[in-house]
Amino acid sequence: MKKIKNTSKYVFAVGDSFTDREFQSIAYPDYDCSYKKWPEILANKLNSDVLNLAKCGVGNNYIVNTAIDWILDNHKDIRVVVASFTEAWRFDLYAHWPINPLVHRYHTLEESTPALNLDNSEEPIPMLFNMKFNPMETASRELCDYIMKEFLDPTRFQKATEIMFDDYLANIVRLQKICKQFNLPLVMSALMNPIEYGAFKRISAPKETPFTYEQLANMFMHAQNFFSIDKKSFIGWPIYEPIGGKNINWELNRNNLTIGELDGHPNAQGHHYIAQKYYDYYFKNYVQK
Amino acid sequence: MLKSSKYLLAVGDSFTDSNYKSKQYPDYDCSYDKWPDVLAQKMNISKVVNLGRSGTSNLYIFDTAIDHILKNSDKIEMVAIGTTEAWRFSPFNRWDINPLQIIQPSHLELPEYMQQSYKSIFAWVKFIWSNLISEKHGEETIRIFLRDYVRQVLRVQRLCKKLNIRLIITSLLGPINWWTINIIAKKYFDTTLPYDHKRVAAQMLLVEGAYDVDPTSFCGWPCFWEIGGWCCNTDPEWDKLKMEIGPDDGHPNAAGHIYIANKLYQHIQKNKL
Repeated sequence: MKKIKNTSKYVFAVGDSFTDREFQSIAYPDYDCSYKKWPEILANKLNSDVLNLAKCGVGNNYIVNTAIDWILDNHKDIRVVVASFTEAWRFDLYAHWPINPLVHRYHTLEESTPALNLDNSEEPIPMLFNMKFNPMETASRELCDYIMKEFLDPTRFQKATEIMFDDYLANIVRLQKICKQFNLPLVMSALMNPIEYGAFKRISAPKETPFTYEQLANMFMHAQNFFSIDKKSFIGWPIYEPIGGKNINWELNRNNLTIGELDGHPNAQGHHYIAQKYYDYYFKNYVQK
Repeated sequence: MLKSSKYLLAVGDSFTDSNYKSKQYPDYDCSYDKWPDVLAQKMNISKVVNLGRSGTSNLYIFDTAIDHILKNSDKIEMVAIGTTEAWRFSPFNRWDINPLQIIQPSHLELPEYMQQSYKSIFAWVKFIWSNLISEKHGEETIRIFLRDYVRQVLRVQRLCKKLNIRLIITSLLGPINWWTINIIAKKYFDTTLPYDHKRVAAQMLLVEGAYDVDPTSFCGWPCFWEIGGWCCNTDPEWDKLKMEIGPDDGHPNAAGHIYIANKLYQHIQKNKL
């Protein structure tokens, strides 16, 4: 077996809260999150340094453009680019105010029908009462609600889903092409699913979602650029089980690798689990070859 | 001189859109050549790929340019980008949202998604404008817009430099227009701006990365005339020579498009791009 050489080049990571080295749990404020995050663990395995530019709450456009800005100036110093993508409906206003329409939707539901969510639903909604919004996020609440309603409307969800999936894949392809241009190894994953079906079930309750999990997966497969994704570089591709993907987020949950019932972010063991996945993909695609 | 087989890639908003139609003057014939066509003729480039889209934002403009460049770098002779107002944004690169249109509903027809989402967008648009007119947050908000703008400019400049692709950028609609903000402040918030137009321009000098922008590939950098920049809507010649479609539509008429192309061509020649 080939050995991975120590080089002065570093592991370059981008992503959201699942990757952010400064992550703090909102649901469990006393939980000690000072453990190493997966990019650091991966870098240790590769005997490299790490640069982690991941940031809590951001959307995929922010993640990819942050990566591109750094790569354009520093590609000669990078050993491998590791990216983790997030929910497709997030966006960042002027690359400054991260907006997550789903979080706003949860809040609206919690406030309007607390009994529904806290007592009667099959799965509890992740507790977000502690979450404080920045003023722009508060002002964006109705816009977020509008976006979520687009998903929940049986006559409109298909269009909304198509828009989100197209944008999601366009961002990934942009990063792939930049890495290819500079001959940089790239390993990616969706630690948060582009559209999480479970979340939709919860915000749709007590009504049924306007689409099944299989339909959602099928729509993903028909999105623009689906076949442009380099599946060898993408852990678990094509993400959704009904079309042959593997959902890392669910694996973390099933194996008790999350912080707790109310916080699905990886715990210390979860970060080791993710790092091992990235290591395996990197080794298989860029070292063994 | 032989014409290049490669093409000129143009990206921008309605000032660039090859299919632009005047909403204020529906009978006005807008079928004249747009500035990318005129520029290509001057540069002996036989083909233009124009991805300009009316109403869109800089996010769309720069992401579209980058995606196209990464896919077709060997076919492009030159990239020409006309940027727009920095407060516009396009979530998911699909819905083009212009806070100005939302706060100031005019006789113009809003796109369908904006009509449907009008109320939902209004709250945050109001937040943006209330920030812009406030003494405490006004200048900071302007810097947020400008920082995003500068990042996008740098991204495409660096990419084109790495790929050895000729590039020309210009700000056709200035990134921030003090006069517009002031009109909104007076009309909808019954106040006047606590800072003058010079302060707006000065924010550009405070933005991270602004000094890294390469002025040789940016015609009119740093955009604001107060600090030595240029853009169409603050150019005194623009008004004097009547280069707009009409008093109610500030988009360039045929002469305006030639004026823009000439301006860019001169910059290209001067800087040997």
